Amino acid sequence: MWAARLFPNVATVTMQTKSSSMVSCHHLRKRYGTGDAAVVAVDGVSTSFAAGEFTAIMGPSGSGKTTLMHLLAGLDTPTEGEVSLAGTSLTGLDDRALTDLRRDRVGFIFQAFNLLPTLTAEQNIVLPLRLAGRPVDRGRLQRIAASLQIADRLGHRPAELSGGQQQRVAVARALLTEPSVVFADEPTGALDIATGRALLAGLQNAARQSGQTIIMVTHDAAAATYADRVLIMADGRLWEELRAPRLESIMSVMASVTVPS
Amino acid sequence: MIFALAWSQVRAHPGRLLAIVAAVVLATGFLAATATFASTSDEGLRLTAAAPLTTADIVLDAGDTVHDPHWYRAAAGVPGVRSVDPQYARTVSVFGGARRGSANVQSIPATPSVRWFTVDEGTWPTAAGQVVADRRTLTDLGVGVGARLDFRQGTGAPVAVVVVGSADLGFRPLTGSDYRFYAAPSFFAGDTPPAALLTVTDRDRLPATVDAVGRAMPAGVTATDAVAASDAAASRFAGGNTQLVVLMLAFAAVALLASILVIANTFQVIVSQRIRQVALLRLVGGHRRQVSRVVLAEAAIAGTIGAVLGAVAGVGLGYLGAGLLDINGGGLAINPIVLALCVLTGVGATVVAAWAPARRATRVAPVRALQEVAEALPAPVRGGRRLVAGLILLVLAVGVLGLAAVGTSLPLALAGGVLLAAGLLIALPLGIALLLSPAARGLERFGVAAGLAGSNLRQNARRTASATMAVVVGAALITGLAVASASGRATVEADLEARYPVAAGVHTDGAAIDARTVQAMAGITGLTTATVATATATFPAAGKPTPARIAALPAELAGRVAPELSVSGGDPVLLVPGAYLTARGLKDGAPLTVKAGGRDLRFTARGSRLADTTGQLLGVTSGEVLTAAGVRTVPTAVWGTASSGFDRETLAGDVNAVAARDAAVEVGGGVTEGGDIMNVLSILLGLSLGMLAVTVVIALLGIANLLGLSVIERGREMALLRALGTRRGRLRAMVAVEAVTITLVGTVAGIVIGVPVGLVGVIAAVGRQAEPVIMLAWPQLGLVLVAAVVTGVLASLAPARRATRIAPAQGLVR
Ligand SMILES: Nc1ncnc2c1ncn2[C@@H]1O[C@H](COP(=O)(O)OP(=O)(O)O)[C@@H](O)[C@H]1O
Ligand SMILES: [Mg+2]
Repeated sequence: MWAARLFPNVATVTMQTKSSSMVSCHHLRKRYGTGDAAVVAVDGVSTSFAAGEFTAIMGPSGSGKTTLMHLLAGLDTPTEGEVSLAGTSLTGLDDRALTDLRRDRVGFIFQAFNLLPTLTAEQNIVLPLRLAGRPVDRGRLQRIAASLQIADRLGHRPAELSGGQQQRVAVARALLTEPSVVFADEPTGALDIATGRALLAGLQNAARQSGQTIIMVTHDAAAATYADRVLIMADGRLWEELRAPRLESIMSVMASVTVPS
Repeated sequence: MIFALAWSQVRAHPGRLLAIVAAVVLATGFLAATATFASTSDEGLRLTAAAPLTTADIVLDAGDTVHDPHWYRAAAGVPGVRSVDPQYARTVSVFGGARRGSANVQSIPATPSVRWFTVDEGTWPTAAGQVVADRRTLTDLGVGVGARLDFRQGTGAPVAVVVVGSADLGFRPLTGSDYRFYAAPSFFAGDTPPAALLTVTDRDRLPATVDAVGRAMPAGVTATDAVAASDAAASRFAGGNTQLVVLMLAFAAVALLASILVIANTFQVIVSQRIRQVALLRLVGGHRRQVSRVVLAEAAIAGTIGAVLGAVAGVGLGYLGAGLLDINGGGLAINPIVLALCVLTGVGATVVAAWAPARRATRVAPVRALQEVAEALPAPVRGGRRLVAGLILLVLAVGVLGLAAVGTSLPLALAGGVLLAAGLLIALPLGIALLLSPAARGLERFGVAAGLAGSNLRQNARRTASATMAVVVGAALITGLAVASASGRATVEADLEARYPVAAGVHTDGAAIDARTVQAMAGITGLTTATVATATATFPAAGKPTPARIAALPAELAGRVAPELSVSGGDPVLLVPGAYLTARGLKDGAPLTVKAGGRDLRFTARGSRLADTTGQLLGVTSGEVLTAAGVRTVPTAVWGTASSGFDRETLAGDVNAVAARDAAVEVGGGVTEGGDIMNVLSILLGLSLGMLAVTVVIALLGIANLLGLSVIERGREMALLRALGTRRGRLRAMVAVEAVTITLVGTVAGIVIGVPVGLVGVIAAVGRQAEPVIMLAWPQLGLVLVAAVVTGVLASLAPARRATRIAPAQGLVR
């Protein structure tokens, strides 16, 4: 399994203390539209994500998970509240500074459309480094590609790759730059179970081995068990927080939120 | 239903169709402007031609056989004839104004009711020495009412006249002369009038009176009803601006072609954006036919809007154009059928352009509606058969063009040009598409933005190529015209310099030349002058090319223009016209005896251009020869030489201004030649600049539209790029690099095509008369390249702004 090859000493790694917070938000609110059509997608969320912590965000469809993630990543601006990322407050940051912060400190694995269709897999992977004008460590690229089993697909364009391969190219991109925070929005949504599990293990080890902060939105309770904690959202608010979650506990909390009230 | 669906598309995204509408406006506007210009100027010319006949009832025309100056008088005795006014006309040279030129002098009828214009300043002329001029003539001559001028007819003595009035005719009469004057019949004393204008007492009996007058006239005179005569005169001028109209039509054709390319491209993008919609339409039971009809209906809607707007704008422009040339005197004239045809052409062109994209839409499988739109694979560049067909045409074209250059045949050059255009239209898009891959790889070296731009261009190679084609067409035309005009000019200049050793000269008939004229000639900058003395001489007769004077060149001038005079030993050399030698059957270097100053002088005759290119037929020898022989000479001419590459027009103007003040001299030398062809070449150059403007506009539209749509299409890519940390500036740079690559590739291809075609054109046109001089018009080529870059950057502005407005989070979720 490629995750095991990437992190051969998985079993021996112990949980690190997560004292410093890498991402935090305070009274975060996001409203879309105005008047009757207004939707409050995120409604007063305060939480923090420690360095090296793997957090899963769960909740019913439309509960505001994606919006929260975009706010935390600086992809969207909050209506109220504050976000700080890697020690920098995002409030009042201009576009250029925000862009550079994303480029240098954040990695993304999106739900869909992770890759630029005109670039090859390899060009996609090294894109953030090239944007930053940083050199590409060829050896590391090869190792990551090999461990993700996409080494022989590097010259292909996204359209020539399967959904799972595309997602793994996105993971490779997120890992190569060694960003402090990796945001993943339903990364396993388009994958078969085995590929999905492998990807999750890779994320888990990125947190444990390299101390990267992982924030992952998911629908899949089994996927959430790879995380150190699970945040459960409903109606734009934080409903529940589970530490070292087990499948049954997640399922039962989820069942309680999903029941129409 | 189809139309409703199409209309809803147009309503929902009017901006998308903007470029299409604009392109149609441009193409239709050109057509409508050409049509309006043609009809309006035609009407104006008709009016101009018929104007002198509109006040009379009967027109009498005297043929060439009539020599009695009073032939018209008998008409006065015919019953029913009220007035008879002879119509005189003379062509004279005018002196005393700012410039010298030819003028047409017409008689003003003595009968007031037959005068066909009014004097709006001053009075009617009453005596022989008085004239009226039209406003433009006075402006051109730089004089006003009250001015004194000298008229000279042929080689006769100058006649002094006073300008007593000015008339505003409202149009420029077509006399073929520089200036126009009107004088009382007494001015023309002794002339035989070529026509006479009659009025009758009873217009009801006009046909009978026409017959009666006709019978009373001497043989060779015809009597015509004035209405019929003015119609006949007018129809002789119909289509008087054909050349200009043909040129404008050529413009319109190019604009139409470029517009079709832009429109086709826009629809291509629109259709690919709508794949899911199209698939849905098919899924719910739409036939392929219906799908393509929606697209074609949209094209028809946009085409109609654009064509109507274009027609309106074109009519205005065409009328303005006729006004600028002062040939709109007949008012705005439009042929509704022609105008309707213009609109139909515009609509038709749009529909034709949308044809291929519409067909592409029909190939969308219904199942695509249910699928996540797969990211498009880079469109493979196919079409080998097309490429082969295009290449065969190109090879043919090169062959024909080569033949045209060798055989200096203009029709062959034109045929080659047409073949070339056809071949290029077929083969070039594929060629460019194939070129884009290496270009994209090259761009990667210039950083991330350029690299991304390159891969985007390559991704949509076919689409990019057809956007590029619009630029290629324009650039080829511009550079072709510019190179042809520059090379043509250089060729004519070199030829004239070689053929006319004397760049400019003035000479009298034999009287001593005015010292002020000599001084004025010497004062012309760029001209090195010398006074030439001549003596009357009797040459052995040889018909037309026989000189009547011998010129004695000062030693200094002889050294410059006639080194062959300084041969020592034997008889002195006399330069004579080559045609004289031929007519006498003499060989170059044959002995020739000429009588001058009552003596027989023995010379060695040599053929030389100096003897017949200074405005006079001369024998030319050195001053010492005549002095030694004791022949008395009179200074009668000033000859000037200019350094190579002088400004012909300025020099001609300066010399003309000198000659305007001395009625005794005629102008000769190189400046008297080449004016017409230089004018044509200047028009070509002007056309190429006008074409540049049109091309820039069309390219701007096409590329801005292409990029704008592709930014929408690539919205998610842009968002992803932003999410991954691409700064706005970089995104803007990326779009700009795409645009500039398109314009530069197109321009370079255009130059590569246009330069040789322009050169072949020049060689074919003038190669027979003169040794062609190749001039690549570097300033114009540079201008075209700069324009390409600027156009690219400008075209990228709006799409780039749209690209940077895309929020990083947009479209990254399902
Ligand atoms: N750009 C937007 N404009 C308007 N409403 C939005 C937008 N994005 C999300 N929403 C709304 O906000 C709510 C939360 O959406 P989202 O964060 O996507 O939920 P989740 O990812 O949990 O399914 C939903 O009701 C959704 O309709
Ligand atoms: Mg979501």
